[in-house]
Amino acid sequence: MTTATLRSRRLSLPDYFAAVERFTTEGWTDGLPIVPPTEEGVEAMLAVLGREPGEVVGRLAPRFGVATLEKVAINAVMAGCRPEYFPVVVAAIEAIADDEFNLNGVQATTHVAAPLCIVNGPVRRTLDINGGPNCFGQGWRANATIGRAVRLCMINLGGGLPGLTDKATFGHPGKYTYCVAEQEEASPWEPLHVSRGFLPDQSAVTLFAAEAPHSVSDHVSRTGRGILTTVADTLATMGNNNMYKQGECLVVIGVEHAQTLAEEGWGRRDVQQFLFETARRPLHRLKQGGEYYGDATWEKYWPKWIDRSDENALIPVVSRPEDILVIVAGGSVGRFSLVIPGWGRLGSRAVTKVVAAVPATSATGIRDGKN
Amino acid sequence: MHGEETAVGIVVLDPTAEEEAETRPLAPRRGSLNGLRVGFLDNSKERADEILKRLQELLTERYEFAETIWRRKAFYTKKAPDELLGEIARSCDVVVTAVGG
Repeated sequence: MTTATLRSRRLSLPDYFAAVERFTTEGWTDGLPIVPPTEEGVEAMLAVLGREPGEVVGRLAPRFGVATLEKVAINAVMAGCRPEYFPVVVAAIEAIADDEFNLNGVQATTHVAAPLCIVNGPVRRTLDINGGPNCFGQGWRANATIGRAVRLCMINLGGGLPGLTDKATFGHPGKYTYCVAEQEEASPWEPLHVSRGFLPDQSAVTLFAAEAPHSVSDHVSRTGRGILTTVADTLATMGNNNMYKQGECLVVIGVEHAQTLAEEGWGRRDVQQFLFETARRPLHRLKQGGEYYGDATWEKYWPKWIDRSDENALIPVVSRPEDILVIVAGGSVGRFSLVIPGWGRLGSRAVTKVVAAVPATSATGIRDGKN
Repeated sequence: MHGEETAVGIVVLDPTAEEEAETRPLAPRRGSLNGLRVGFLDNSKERADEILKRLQELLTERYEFAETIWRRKAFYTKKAPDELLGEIARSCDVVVTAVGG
């Protein structure tokens, strides 16, 4: 590939610092300094896939800018990605550009939602994407930069500008970067992407419009029912969009909790069914606030089978067991899980896309002992 | 492509979509609503319909529409489907829309 194949406008600037300042001034960053996207950096990124730079990955709302491989690569360089991360970034952009994801709403909403990128399959290990200790925190380049690349594409191609087109009242820290691997090795169940119809030896990303993680501490329960009762209680809260607008939510079972569930023989479906039946609040309580809009709530969101005349009827946090996404992640020590409420059934669903095969030569980022 | 500044130290690429916005003229404004087909597009967010119903009441006190047409978006978070917009464009002379909350 030669530089002539890259069609983007060139900017000549005095040095690295001038580039960082210029990009910041233009509104092309998330507020943190970026890696200036030079032709060499962008070409190295594109070379991993070996496809035409002009290939269209999708259009990103609300501006509906065209995300070509070249433009995604530019933003991936800016985010600090290594070239071998590029197929994961491209798959994530495919996912958020899918109509099912409804990026238009996710970008523009006043809610806090941000796309969470959950990585499954062999690429987790090849690229050292953390699903272990502190997996939602700092310290892993792949997690930090893949999630950041998605956000930079949302800014520069989607036109998501805080206070203007991104109307989030608060946002949350995951809007800088929000990428995690499932710790498939610690899970008693098939990996998330397999539960969604993909093969175990495929790598895939699942993008989900999500709140920030909320810790579920249960250091006392030694049974699956006990642990999941605490998870259910944390899920079914009046301030949670899911409670009134249903949709999907995510439960991240910690490794110690997963061990207890595995010992008792719980399947993923058992976990979903228990949480569906237990994560509920009585109608009379929900009517007092939250997002209760009377007829509109009944007509648009809540399941038909609930007895509307019964003030004590229990409303589930989502409408179906399968709308509770379940993964396993985290460090091996600590009796914690997480709940991550979604945006609600507002035209957005979690979307899974396959990651194109990554060259074997890319296995240079692995740090032993951290997964 | 062209460089926009002359000092050469580092050459970087524009990360934006670099698309030219298409300019389209506004539809002609109507001086009166008498005899027109008036559409009301509810974006389906809570209480948008209440705003629109009240507007309809106020407008019909002042004008005589040839026809009143109501349409509703399936999701307030998504843009209206092209088919819906096309249908509204064909069947209405004027459209009032409202965003609920």
